[in-house]
Amino acid sequence: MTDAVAILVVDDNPPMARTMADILVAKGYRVQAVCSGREALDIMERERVDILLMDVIMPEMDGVVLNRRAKEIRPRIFSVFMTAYSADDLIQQGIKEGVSTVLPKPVDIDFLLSLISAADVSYFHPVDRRGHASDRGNS
Amino acid sequence: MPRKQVEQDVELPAVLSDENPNPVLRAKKNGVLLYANPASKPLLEHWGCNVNEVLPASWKKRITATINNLTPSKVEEVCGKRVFSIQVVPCRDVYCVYLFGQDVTERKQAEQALLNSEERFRSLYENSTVGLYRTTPDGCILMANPTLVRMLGYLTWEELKARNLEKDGFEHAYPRTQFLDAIEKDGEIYGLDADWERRDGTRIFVRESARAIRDAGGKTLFYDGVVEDITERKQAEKALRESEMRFAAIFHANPGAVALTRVSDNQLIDVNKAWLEVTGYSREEAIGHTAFELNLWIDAAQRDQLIEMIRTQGKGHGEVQLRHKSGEVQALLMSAELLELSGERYLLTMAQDITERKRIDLEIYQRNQELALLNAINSAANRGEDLGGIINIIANGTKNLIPNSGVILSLVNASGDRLVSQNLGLSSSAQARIEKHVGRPIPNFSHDLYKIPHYQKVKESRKGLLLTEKKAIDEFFCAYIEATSWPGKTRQAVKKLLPALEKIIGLRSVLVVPLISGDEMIGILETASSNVFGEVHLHRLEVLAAQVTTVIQRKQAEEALRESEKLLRKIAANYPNSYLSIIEKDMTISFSSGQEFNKQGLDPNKFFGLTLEQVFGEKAPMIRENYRKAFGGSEVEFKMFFNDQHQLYRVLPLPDDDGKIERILAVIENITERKQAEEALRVLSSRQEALLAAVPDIVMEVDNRKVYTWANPAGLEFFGPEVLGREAADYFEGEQQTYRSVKPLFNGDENTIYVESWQRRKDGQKRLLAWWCRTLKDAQGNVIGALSSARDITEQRKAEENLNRLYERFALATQTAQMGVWDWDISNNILVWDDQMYALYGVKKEDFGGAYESWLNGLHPDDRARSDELEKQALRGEREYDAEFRVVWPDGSIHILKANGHVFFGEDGKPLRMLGVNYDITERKQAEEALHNYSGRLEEMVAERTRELRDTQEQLVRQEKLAVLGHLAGGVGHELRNPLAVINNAVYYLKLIQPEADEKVKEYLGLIEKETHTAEKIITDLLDFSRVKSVDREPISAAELANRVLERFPAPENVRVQLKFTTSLPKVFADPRQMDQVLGNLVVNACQAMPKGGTLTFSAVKKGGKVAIAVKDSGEGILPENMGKLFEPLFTTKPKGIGLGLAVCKKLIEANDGRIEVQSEAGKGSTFTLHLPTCEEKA
Repeated sequence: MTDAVAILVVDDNPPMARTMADILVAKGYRVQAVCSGREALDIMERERVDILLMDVIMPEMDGVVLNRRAKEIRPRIFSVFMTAYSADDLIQQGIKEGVSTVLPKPVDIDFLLSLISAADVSYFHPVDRRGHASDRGNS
Repeated sequence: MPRKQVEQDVELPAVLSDENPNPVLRAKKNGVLLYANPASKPLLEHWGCNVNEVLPASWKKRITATINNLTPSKVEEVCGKRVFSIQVVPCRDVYCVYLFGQDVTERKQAEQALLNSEERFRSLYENSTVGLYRTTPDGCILMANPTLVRMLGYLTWEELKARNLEKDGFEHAYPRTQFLDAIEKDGEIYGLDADWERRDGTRIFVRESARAIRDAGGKTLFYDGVVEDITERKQAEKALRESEMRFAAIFHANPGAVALTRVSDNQLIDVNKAWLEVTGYSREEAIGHTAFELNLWIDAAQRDQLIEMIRTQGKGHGEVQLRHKSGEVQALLMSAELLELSGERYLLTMAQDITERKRIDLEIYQRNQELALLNAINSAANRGEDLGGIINIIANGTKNLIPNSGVILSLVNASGDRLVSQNLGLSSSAQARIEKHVGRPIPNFSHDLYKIPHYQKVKESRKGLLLTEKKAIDEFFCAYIEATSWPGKTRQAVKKLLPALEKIIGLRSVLVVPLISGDEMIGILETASSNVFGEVHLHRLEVLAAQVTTVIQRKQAEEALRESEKLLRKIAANYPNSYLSIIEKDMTISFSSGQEFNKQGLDPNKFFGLTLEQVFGEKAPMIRENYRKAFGGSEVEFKMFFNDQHQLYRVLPLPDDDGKIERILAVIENITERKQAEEALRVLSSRQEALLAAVPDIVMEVDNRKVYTWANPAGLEFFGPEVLGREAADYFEGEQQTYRSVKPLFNGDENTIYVESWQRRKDGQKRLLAWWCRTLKDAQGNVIGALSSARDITEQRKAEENLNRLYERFALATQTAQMGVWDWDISNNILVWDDQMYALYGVKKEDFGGAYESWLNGLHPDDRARSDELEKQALRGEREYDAEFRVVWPDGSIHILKANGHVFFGEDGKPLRMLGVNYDITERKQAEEALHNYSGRLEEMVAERTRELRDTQEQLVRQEKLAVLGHLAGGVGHELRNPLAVINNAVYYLKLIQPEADEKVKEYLGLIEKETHTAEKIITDLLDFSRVKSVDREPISAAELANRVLERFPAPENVRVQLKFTTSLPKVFADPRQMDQVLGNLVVNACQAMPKGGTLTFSAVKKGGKVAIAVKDSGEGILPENMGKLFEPLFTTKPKGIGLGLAVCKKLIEANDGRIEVQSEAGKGSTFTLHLPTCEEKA
């Protein structure tokens, strides 16, 4: 499982973080959920994180800053905003700084899942995937 | 993962548990205490704070600072008797701090105790009143406390340290070698007295104790010592010894008698030599005995008094008498005080022998008495006291001089062979005692001189006689009694008393002294006494006798004078209305008489001998001054008010035969009545004067030369005091005809002449005076001048001028305003008009009747009654006259006039006069009329406009409210999205992990999912409506828009879609996404309006510079009453939906500079048209 896609969910609303994490775990991903940008960065300092699902408006550290820091640690991280608000400025800024997409809350989970699997294929393991696919095909 | 869990896992080490015996606390940045273990209880109690409460302000501040600095800190907190050391540690992540406490009370106490004991030692060392030192056997000074340094006179310890005991040495009386020997032998020295040399060479006495400190081997390391400065004690001891010696010297060498008596038993403890001399006892006899035993005190009361003084004042002082051993009485001046010696109380008495001083005092006293007596006799004689009175004075006076029982003065006749008068010289007490023994009153008596041999003897020897032998006295009294004029019985009775005379009146000596005048004896002075007389007393009486002789001679001469005076007095006594007095050169009155004394009930004789001061009091100096002139030889006359009388003094010198003026005569006439008459006259004239002074008018008098000779106060006030003596013209201001005007007065004209003249007031101001002038003539009828009164009329004149000007202005005003003025004399019914009035009424002056009715007739017939009533009301005083009426001119034209008037009422309240104005208001009235008509119409217009405005206003308010509501709803919507998102996730998860779930469960999960989406849709609408979206406009064709919308919102199958687009239609300039939303909305609505199917027509045409895009349905159409509300938010006809769709559409279209319209026909459907700007238009 170590090479499974590692997802980090960050939302200051703990049930949101938790339900989202549970769904993704149930879908077979390696998932951690935290409630603040600082915690998220601590984790990222320690271990690999491929996808960062984050709320935009959070106390102390908002999504834009978190994304910026995350990119410093892992420039290729795939980051997604989830927002209940139309905080246009922050969203525009996030996109400018490399946020992959913005999902309005309530999140269309099917869409999210497809997005992640797409990213898994195209973004993280473009080469491996091919090999892997042949491996899988072979087995 | 729940956040709380995260914190605990990461932050809470094992040590932070409830079991920790030391206090552990956690607090938030804002000072709220989050956690506290049980050991923290004392702290919490101290702070009065519990978990979830805010810590004390100081802690809150400290916590905030700790978090801000991210630096731990340590503080000590004292909780009652406990002290806690508290470490404050910040936790970076959770924005709170940990407080780790430790009870350090015991440590603190130990520290404090140590500190205290050190402090005590230090304090003892530094502040000790005794010197402390440590020295070595070889003489080094290792240590000396400040007291010792000071004691030895060194400035600093360093200075002392430099000294070496072996080399320099300190001791005088006690060499160091001895000290060393002693201390080495015994290990210590205690209480060694020594004298040391100080730095400056002076010595101090010290008491020293020292101890040798030795090492284990017994070798002396150093000496520790204590040094006490006993210099003062030594000095005190010395002083005491000296003092004792001094006391002894004073005690014994004192010339006064000094004795020391022990209070407890009154025994004499010590006495000095003088004391032994005063008392006559020997030392042995006195010491150990009491004053009582020695019988020293004569008067115990004197002693008690002295003791009482000591008791109350601490010291006693006074004259006492003590008995000498021989019995002789000694007068002493004694002072005594209490001493306390060694706890025992002693009385120290010092006495001085004043026996001799007493005698001298008495002598001086008697000499003084003698002088006083002589003085008294002289002044009595001068006062005119008769001989009897003088003898009384002598009798009383001599008692102080010679202790006697009375003085008897006997006078002999001219030939010296008979007694002619005698006073009763016995003292009253002596006489009473004699009378008591005789048993009857003793009458006055006289002696036959020849029968008393003693008198004979005195006459011949011309010397006084002193009898002290009892036999001689008895003989004297026998002869005396024999020679008295008493009846035989009395004489016998008195004679019987003779043997007992000494007992009765205690006679022990008699003095008889002759009164010698020239060669003649004119009388005898005698006295007797219970005391024994000596030569001294005889001599005194002789001196007295000489004085008495002089007085008697004078008296006898006066007697002779008296006769001639009688006559004079008689004349004087009848001097009418006058007091007569003769005044001596010493300004005493020697004679007074006159009728006035009697009239006033005064005794003229009482004035005899009085001085001017005594008679006239404060007036005396003036009298004296005048009398002195008389003594100078002139006759003086003056007046004075004295004793409520007006008196005329005429003073004549009375020269004696030699022409010397020794006395003067004053004839004082009471002229009060005459004065009163004069006074009455004066009052009369002063009343006139007062009148002139009181009138406010100026009153001036001039003489013929027109020079001011008199002025009343007002006149002086006006012109100034220097006016008198100056000519009237000096005060004229400007050229004047005044002199010419008043000329007739000086020719004798008796009429009052009025003239006005500008004159200069004393302050320099120019004032207008109105003068009334009259001629003044003397008794002969000659003109002597003129008397004028004047009044300052400057202000009055100015007021008149102002009034005139005012009147002119008024006339100008009425004329300019074309205002007519009328004046109606009511009682006479005369109505006077000015010229303007005639013009206003269109009549000629000559045609006007000049009465009230004339005016009334000129009015329009319809206005007469009302105008008349208004006039009547004004006359009754009910209101000011204010009327409008029409006037019909003779030419038939009508003019509207306005009238105002004021009624003047008399004292009785009757209207006297009415004054008023009229003016033409025809034009104004017409203008008003026109305005009134116009304003009627205007009001309607305004009302209409107001309605419109109100509608708009209401709409605005509603929109405003909606905007607020929308904003609020938007905010709520956002917040709702978060829980919705969680619900959504949760449902998704449940469905995901339970694919085999019960059908019912699946159905319900489906319900939750569906309703979640509905809720989300509502929120989206709300947000769309409330959010101020940025508009991102771009050119887009209507066809493209239609296609996109129909693609996204496909119509149901039963709806046919028709597209009608004009060719060469310009592109619209709008936000495509917003247009999608609007058109999508319209399409969905259209489809919903045709539940049974129909046609949806999508069209676009160019219209008025814009592109009109229409969405048409073939549904039921919209009810007319709903047409107006279609675009209002929250309006809906659908069973579901919150009615924001069309409102959002309208808003979005308007945001794109467009406009939305609706048309509807019942049964035929509705058309919604969007008018959007084109790119061309934009360009």
